Formats: sequence, C-alpha cells, structure tokens
Amino acid sequence: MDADLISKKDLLEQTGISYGQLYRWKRKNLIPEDWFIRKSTFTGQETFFPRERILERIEKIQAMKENLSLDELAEMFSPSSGKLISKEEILKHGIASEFVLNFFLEQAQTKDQVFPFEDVLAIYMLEKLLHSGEISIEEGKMLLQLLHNTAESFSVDHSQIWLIRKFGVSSCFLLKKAENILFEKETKIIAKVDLMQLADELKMKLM
Amino acid sequence: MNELKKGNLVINGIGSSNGGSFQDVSLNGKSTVNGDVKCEKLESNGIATFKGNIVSQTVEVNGTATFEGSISGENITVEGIAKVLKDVAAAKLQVSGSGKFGGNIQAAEVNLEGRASIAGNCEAEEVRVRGPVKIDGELNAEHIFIEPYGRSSIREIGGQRITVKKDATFSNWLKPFLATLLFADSIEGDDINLEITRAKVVRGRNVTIGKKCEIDLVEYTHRFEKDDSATVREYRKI
Repeated sequence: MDADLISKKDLLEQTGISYGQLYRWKRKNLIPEDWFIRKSTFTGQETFFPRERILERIEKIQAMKENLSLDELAEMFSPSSGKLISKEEILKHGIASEFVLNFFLEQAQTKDQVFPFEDVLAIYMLEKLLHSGEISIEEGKMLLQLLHNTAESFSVDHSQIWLIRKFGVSSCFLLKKAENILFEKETKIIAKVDLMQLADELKMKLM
Repeated sequence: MNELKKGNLVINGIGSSNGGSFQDVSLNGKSTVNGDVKCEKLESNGIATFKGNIVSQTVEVNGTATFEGSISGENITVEGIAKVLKDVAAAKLQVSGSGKFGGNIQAAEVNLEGRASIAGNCEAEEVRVRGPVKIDGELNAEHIFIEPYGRSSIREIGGQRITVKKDATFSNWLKPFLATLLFADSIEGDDINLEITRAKVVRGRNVTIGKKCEIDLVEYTHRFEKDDSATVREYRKI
C-alpha cells in the first residue's frame, strides 16, 4: 500500500480521535474535502488521507482547540481569512524585513498600510526566497508580476509556484493540482513553493 | 447608509420576470423567473420555474417549483414539490412534500419528512429523516435520526450519533410495496443504533445492531450488541 497515505482506521487509532470528531472537523472545513481519498480495498471502500498533512493538521487542531472555538479554527485553516494585516504587524511578527516590504510596495505601486492575506503571503514568500539568496531581485519582480496576473484565479489549495532557470534565463509559473512535471536536463529548478504550506506557516506566525 | 425600500414582485396568473432585488416575491399561478432573485421572502404557490440563483431569508414552496440554480437562505420550507438542480445552503431546511436536490445541501438543521432525494452530499448539525430518502453522496451530521419508509438508501453516513429506527406509526395498511429497509455502503459514528438497515460496513465506538439488520462487517472500539434477528457476517473489536 502507498506509504504516503494513511487509512481512516489507522488515523483514528494513532491520533485517538473519534469518528464523530473527524466528521465534525470535515463539516467545519478544518480538513479539506479533497484530503479524503476513496479507494477500494478487499474490505470494500476505504478512505485514506495524505499521511503527513493530516497528522500535522490533527496535531494542530488538538493543540489549539483548547483556546479557540471550532469556527475560529476553521477561519484559521481556511486559505484566506479576509482579515487585513497592517505593515506594523508584518514587521512585528517577523514576516518580512523592511527592505522586502518596501520592495513589495514599490512594485505594487501602492501606499496602502494594510494588506489582504494574499498580499502578505506574497510578501512572505519574497522574504523567504530573497533572504535565502535563491532568487535575485529581478526574479522577485517576475514572481510578483505572476501573482498579480493570476490574482483572479488564485487559490492556495494545491498550488505551487516554481521558478526555473536555464542558461541564466529564468521563468516562473503557477501550478495547480499538478503532478509529475518533467524538465529537460539543463533546466534548473531554483525554487519550489507550496502555497498551502506557506499559508499555514504564515498563519502560525500571525497567531 | 441609505436604505432604499425595495419593491415586491407579485405574479398572479401567468407571468414572467427577469428577477432582481425585491422585498417580497409572491408567485401564484404559473410563473417563470429568468434571472437571479435576491429578496427577503419568497413564496411560490402555483407552478414556478426559477432559472437563476436565489438568495432569500425565507423560501416557501407550496406548489410545484423548479429551481435551476442554487438557493441560499435562512429558512427553506418545501410543502409541495420542489426540484433544485444546484446547491442549497440554509440554516433550516424542511421538506414535507417532495424534494429533489441535484447538488449538495449545507444546513444547520435538516428535516426531511416527505420524499427526498439528494444527488450530492448533505452536511448539517441535526438531521431528521422520516419517509423515503435517497442520498447518493455522504450524509454528515452531528446527530442523525432516520425513520425510513420503503426502499431508502444513503451511500455514506457519518457523524457523532446515528440512529435508524423502524417507525411504528406508519400503519400496516399503508405498507410499502417493498419492505422498509435502509441501504448504506458505510456508516461511521461514535454511537450507532440501527434497525432495518442493510450495510456493508459499520464502524463506531458503541454499536448496536437491532432487528432486521444485515451487516457485512462491524468494527467497534468499545461496545457491540446485536439483536437475535439481525445478521452480522463479521465483527471485530479494534
């Protein structure tokens, strides 16, 4: 059996949660619908989950449900909470340095002091990539342009941003629900960002 | 904010409208609404066809109504015959007549008392079903109480407390053509109490399999009880 998947039965046993809780969390969208993977086995239909993601998610829910209501949790796990985040908060929570923030403002040509979640996600991504030295300023501009152009169909679910380079010429793109992407051998993958993971990280920082 | 008093849409007899934003919508006779409707109260008494999506505090269907779009509102009541092709979102959904739903249902409280069929999933906190029901997707609710009538089927049932009971008040002369049974692929919950159910798998903490049940596999973690008239092919504690 696929090692990356965990069956519902094993999941409940391992985490100690009950069916009632699992279904409740599913209803409240704490666990995304498409993590429920149906497969037929010799005992009939069984449901499987992506092992790492579900275990991590349940651990988080269990750790935080003491202090937050299910609805508050749902808001936290939903891709964008609709709340605006101010410039000060970004700096205070260490989401981005002043340099990256100013770079973003310059590129976006805005004087806004508060940002929607999607923008903060973009800022956070830039901060990570620029600081690790993986990408250049020019490539950062390109990434922002990409996010800007795809803003309408943008969602963090199953989306990844890739930056590739060949002979020093770089390009970037947004993947949705894609698997198995193959490149010719001279193409280098410079950065691969899973937006869902990034969004989770960012939310933890904002807590 | 400057609140404009909205007008009403009233059709008596035969008429059609392009939809829009209203206070009350009242349709009596034979009407067609071609666009989206946003209103406080929607009442459909004759034969009505809605081609757009509906957003209304209350929706009441007494005659025959077809909704080609989705419905969202607080209180949705169907006393006649309603067919909804897309999703329904409501605080309370009550079907006393006949309801046919082509999409998913999301509500806090769902009461299905007449004939109901749902092609998608049904998610709610409280679900009560009394009568013939067919759900092709998953029924997921905190508390589920089902009194089936005739051949009923629900593909998957999941929740905290799940009860399926034979309703004694459906009198004998009103016997359905086929024996009353609920068919399900899987039933999963914390406290499960079943009667007249035929299921492939039942998984839960406390599982009671009552009369006239036929279950292929029961997996339980705490307690398992079985009526003598029930058939359970395999059961195991996990």
